[in-house]
Amino acid sequence: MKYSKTLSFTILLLVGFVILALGTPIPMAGASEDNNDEAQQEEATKTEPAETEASALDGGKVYAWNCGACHSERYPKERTDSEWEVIITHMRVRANLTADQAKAVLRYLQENNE
Amino acid sequence: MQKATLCCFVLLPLMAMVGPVFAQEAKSEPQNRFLLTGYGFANYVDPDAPDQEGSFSLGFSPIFLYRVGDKFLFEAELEFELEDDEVETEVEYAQIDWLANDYLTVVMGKFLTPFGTFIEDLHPAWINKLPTAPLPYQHGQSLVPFGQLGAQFRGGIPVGDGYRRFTYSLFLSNGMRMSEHGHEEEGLPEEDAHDEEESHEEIALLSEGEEHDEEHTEEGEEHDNDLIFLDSSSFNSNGSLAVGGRVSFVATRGIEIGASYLSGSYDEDGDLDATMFGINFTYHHDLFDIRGEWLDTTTERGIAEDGDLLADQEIEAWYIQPSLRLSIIPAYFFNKLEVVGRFSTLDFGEGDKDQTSLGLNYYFSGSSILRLAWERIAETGHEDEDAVVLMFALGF
Repeated sequence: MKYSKTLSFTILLLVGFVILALGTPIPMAGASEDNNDEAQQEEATKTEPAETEASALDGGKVYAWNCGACHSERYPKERTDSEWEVIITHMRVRANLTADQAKAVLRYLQENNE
Repeated sequence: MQKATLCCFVLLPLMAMVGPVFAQEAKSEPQNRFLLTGYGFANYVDPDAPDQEGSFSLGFSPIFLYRVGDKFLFEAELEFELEDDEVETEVEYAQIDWLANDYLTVVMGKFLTPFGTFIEDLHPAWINKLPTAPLPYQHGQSLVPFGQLGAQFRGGIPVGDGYRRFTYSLFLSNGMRMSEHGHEEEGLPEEDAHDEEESHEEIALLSEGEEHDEEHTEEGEEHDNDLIFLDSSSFNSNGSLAVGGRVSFVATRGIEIGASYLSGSYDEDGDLDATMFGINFTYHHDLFDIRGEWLDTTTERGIAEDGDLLADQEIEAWYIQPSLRLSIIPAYFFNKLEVVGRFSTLDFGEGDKDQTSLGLNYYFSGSSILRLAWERIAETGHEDEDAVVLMFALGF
């Protein structure tokens, strides 16, 4: 049992660092400014399609498929824009929504609460 | 080893995040916002038994949310329940969430155990489609502790077009202890019921294998056969942390498949381990949804009072719960109705316990619901117990 727990901790750590590595941009130590500029441009080019894709997510669809899977519908007019920001942050953590999905749902709720 | 690992678990991610945190200070600071939300319920339970009377009960659970900028959220849920002339209070969760990046949220504090879907997603009265919990998650007799005090990594990673995602929740916590609620709550004979002090004393003796006088032996033998249920521990009483988590894949249209794991010691000496494994699925499509979970738990019992090694407690449990909104019938009244059924079972080797529930829900709105349900509990060696429950639940 002791062995399996140590193994579990190690796996947990490895998974955590992989996730951190995926999500955290790490600047290259010792790189010249030119290289940094190039790297930044390259990074911008790489992330552009992802941002375009994120903005293309249909918030209504994400809302219906994910929120509705657990609870009955909450109407956009129930909350103000700022209240929805807090609620969606809470629900992003609770439901493990991706950042893009959370943004899409928030946009959908804020656009339909007037 | 554990202390070093814990330091790594907490400190290294913090160090790794120093850069991005400082980088954000240059940006405009979003406003901090507080929000009070939550839910409440009142119900009437009418048991179909000659020696039991119908009774009202109520509960409410305020949820405090405080968002600090874009990266931090404090969230806490308190539970107040009035039953049998007593107000039961509990901190369901109180946690600080750090949204470190798009794929990782670091959580510290007391959080709901990320195991299956009932505990984290379905336990609030306005969300749970029946007034009762399925057998594996009954209050006080849950196979899995509802909360953990510790640290957690969690997040969602987009897959394909971004509508699908892989989710993970991994945690270290103070672990578990024996449940304060004994069999008494389920209506079993009082002589089988434990109070907290007695439970701790007994389990300590079991783990140490101490010998007892003959007067105690007979009582001890009865206790050896009791089922052990576990709660979360508010402090690390045995020097051993619990580890666990859940991974799932969420496809489009509310289809989800997940697997959960939890392992830790629960006795004062850290000698007796409990391990739980679970699989869950959900399918949701417009008016219809169906969900289910399967759990397999192994709890070490240690050494009996006569010196024999006790067999591990092994419980296999599952439930399935379909529901259908009656909006398919073109009439206003039926638009508000939902029918739901659930079958759940615990198989503990020497017998089993089944729960059959049928319910009808009327939705005044998405978060204010009147529930009417019939439930039957059938347990090996006991007479069947039927009850009708009327509940009004409100999410606010």
